[in-house]
Amino acid sequence: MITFIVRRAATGLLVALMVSLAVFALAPLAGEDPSQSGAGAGQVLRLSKEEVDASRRRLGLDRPFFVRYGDWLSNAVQGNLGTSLFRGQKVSDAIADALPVTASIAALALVLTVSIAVPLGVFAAVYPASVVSRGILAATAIGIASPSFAVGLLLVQVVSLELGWLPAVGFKPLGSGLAPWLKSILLPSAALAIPAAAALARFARAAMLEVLQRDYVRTAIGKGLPRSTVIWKHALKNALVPVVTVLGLEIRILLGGSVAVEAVFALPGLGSLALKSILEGDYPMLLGIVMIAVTVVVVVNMLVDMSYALLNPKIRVL
Amino acid sequence: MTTPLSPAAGTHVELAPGRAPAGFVSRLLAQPGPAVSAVFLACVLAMALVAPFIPGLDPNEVSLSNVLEGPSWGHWLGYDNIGRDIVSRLVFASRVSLTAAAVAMLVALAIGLPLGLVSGYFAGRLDLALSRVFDALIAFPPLVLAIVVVAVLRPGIVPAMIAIGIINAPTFYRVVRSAALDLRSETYIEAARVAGASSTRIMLRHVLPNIRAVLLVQIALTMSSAIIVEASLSFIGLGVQLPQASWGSMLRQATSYMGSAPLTFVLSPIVTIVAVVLAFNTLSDGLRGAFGRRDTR
Amino acid sequence: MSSRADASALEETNGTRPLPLLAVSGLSIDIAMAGRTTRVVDDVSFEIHDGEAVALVGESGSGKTMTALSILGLLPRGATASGSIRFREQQLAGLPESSLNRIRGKSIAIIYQEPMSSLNPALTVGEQIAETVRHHLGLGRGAAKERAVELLAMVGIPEPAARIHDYPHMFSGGMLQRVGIAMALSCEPALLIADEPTTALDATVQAQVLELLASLRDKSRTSLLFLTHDFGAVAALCDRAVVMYCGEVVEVASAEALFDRPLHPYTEGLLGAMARLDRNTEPIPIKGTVPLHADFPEGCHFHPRCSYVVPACTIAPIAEIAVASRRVRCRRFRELNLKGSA
Repeated sequence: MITFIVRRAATGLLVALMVSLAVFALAPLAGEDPSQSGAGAGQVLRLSKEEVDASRRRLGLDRPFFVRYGDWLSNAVQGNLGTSLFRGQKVSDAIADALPVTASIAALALVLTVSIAVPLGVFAAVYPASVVSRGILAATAIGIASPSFAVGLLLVQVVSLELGWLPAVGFKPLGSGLAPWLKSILLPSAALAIPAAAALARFARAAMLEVLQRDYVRTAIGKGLPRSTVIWKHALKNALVPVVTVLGLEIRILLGGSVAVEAVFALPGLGSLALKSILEGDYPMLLGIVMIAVTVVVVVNMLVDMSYALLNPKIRVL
Repeated sequence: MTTPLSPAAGTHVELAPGRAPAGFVSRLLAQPGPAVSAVFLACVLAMALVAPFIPGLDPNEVSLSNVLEGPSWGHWLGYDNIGRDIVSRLVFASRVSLTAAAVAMLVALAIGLPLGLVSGYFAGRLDLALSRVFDALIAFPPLVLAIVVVAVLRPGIVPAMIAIGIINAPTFYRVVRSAALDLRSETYIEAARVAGASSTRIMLRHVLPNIRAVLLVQIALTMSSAIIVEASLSFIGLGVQLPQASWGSMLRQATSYMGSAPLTFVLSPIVTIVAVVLAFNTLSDGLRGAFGRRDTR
Repeated sequence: MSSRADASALEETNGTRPLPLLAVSGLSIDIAMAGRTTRVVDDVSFEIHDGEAVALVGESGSGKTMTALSILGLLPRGATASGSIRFREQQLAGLPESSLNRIRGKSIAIIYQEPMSSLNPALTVGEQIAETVRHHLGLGRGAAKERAVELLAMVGIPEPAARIHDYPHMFSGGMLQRVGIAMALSCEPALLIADEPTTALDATVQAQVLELLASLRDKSRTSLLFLTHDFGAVAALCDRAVVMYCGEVVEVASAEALFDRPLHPYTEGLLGAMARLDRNTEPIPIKGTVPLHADFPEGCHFHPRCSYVVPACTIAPIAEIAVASRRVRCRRFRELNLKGSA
């Protein structure tokens, strides 16, 4: 088990390094010189050549590539991700402010996804001929075809504007109370969760259908166990294994979708931060965010693999 | 006396991984869902193609007196925030979105197909190396990767297409590779090799035609994915740039006017996206079924 | 073994027939597949009395597994059964799920052919045994665990207290089948159905499991319905045998009588095809192959492979005929003098 974790961590680290290298290398390709990006989009500052050179020297941009990269890397592992070119704010501070927002909606979205998808998938598998199950199949087909930001827009239109139940924009941190916080993240989380739950429900249904055909389910029925025990204890435990794997995939999609959803609901999360930094050419910020994103993805993958081992006793021995 | 939880006596027809049996088109169209989807998509495509030649369909004509007006005869979806006809915008947006998705899909195909062929056919160390690279690529949240690529190449429709192509390449790679791996051991491939045919020739003449089936399924699925990602990228301002209309950019515009605009402003691009993606998904299911494999979907 | 058979034979000749434990009467099973309905079990009848071990003998495709599964309502989707299945006074056919669950695992239990796939890989064997006694006998967790250990010991698994925490994949095939037996016997059922419990095991292990079943039977009065295609097992374990071919019962007799003098050509063929260690003769396989359900021949299903066939055998379906305490489905049984395995 330990070797397993170490191996995964090592691969993850490698991926993170590769990505950071790639972004670091590709940034100047855009033709944008980070020293001049400080001017931001839309602002036209005429800098004289001397000023440009001086600023470049100040930012250390005249040094060779790998030296710059090495510098950045050694700073990064100590937690110093540099300073934003635009605001003079420390990258790590900006990320620290934005992270709770994204984490809140991602976490709630995950909870919603699983709690909607698993019961629906199990039901559709156990009662395949019922009208409700057919409805579930149709609804999930539509859900899969809907981008999360579009679901968000619809939710805003219906729930906020027409019904006035929940706010359309803005984020209330946990500090200002549980209810306001939940109210501010419920719609965005739902927007992320609905398409993800649709996909997961289909998958859960397929996995469950597979498992229900297995001999050991017949054995459990043959022992006279009540149906609920057969479904939840015998069948689901085995069906969950592939579901958890897919969940790992889903988490990645959730993280990606959060960028657009944050735009819909004007949430100051990592997504909006990334977007702003792209539009303004704020490369240190962008690099910092990408690194955090990669780290999160790697950690998530590892967690998924570990839970897979927990669920499947055959792997545990490894 | 049958137990609802008991196993199903299912039929299972299994063909070789990529073979496309004769008559698959009729088998495809025999299924109601895919048939409707195929017809629907054909109509959408036709509409998008002939749009410039239809009089009265102008996405750029501004009529300031009708700003944000609701649906009416002749303007079924109403007007947008600067008085442009939404129906026209929607139809022309289809041209943009569908083209972007198609180009992205072709980019993915161009990267994934040859590499997958080579990987699957030659196997060995080349395969290992390539697989590692694509595995790393897949590990990313697709949208994040697309954003990074667009960030580097500067926002715009072309970078968006390239980015979407890159994020979908791994799926083509995987699908082609696994089909090629399966076919490697087929006797006619062995025979061709023994007969002295070059590897390229074998790959092109023998392997490629036999993976048509999985390729078609994947093409349909990639179109779905590409449409959704393009819409997302354009929505956040990194793809198609306003005032050019794509389904995503129309939504970007609509967001600012949600309280005051007619419902159709926001709803029509959403419904169109969902309908087209749903159609591609159903079509891919139908393709899978027509090629002789029954999934428990 | 013989004493019980003698007892019931005696009771029969005396005219007093105790209520059979299990009475299957006119059981037919149809399977709907790809738009067609095929009859895989046709008008099957047999009885099992208290304490009796009855073998259900037949090759694959004979319908014996379907017959056994239908007793507990475990037929797959698409299969419908008609006919009567009486367990003591209760009619099992058509019984609602809730009532059936009171019998399953408690009064009637099944051992399956493949222990590896019929036990849940995600649960410990201890848990799979314990849940049965908790559910049917109302035992608490501790008592159930103890019972599980007891049962594992009873079936000859070493270190049972440690092994209850192990998962199925940690057992060999033979050991796992013992676990299956332990699980089936956990609530002391009146009837144990064993679906070819030794077929999937190695030859040496087969003998061990048969020995186990025999010794368990000696200790209790559990009746046994033993599905097999191996007459060796029948000889070791069973009082009576019901021979099935292509979904029909072709012969019913006491094991002794069957081995001594079979009445149906198929039974004779099966006996002849049996490999014997105590003889120098080669086993003689029955010519031809078992037909698919869709291709059952006209008249007697066995006639294409029968050495004693006459034209009359090929026209109309053959009815079962009762003689003494035996039954046979053959027109010519009176004139044939078939060879037993003596």
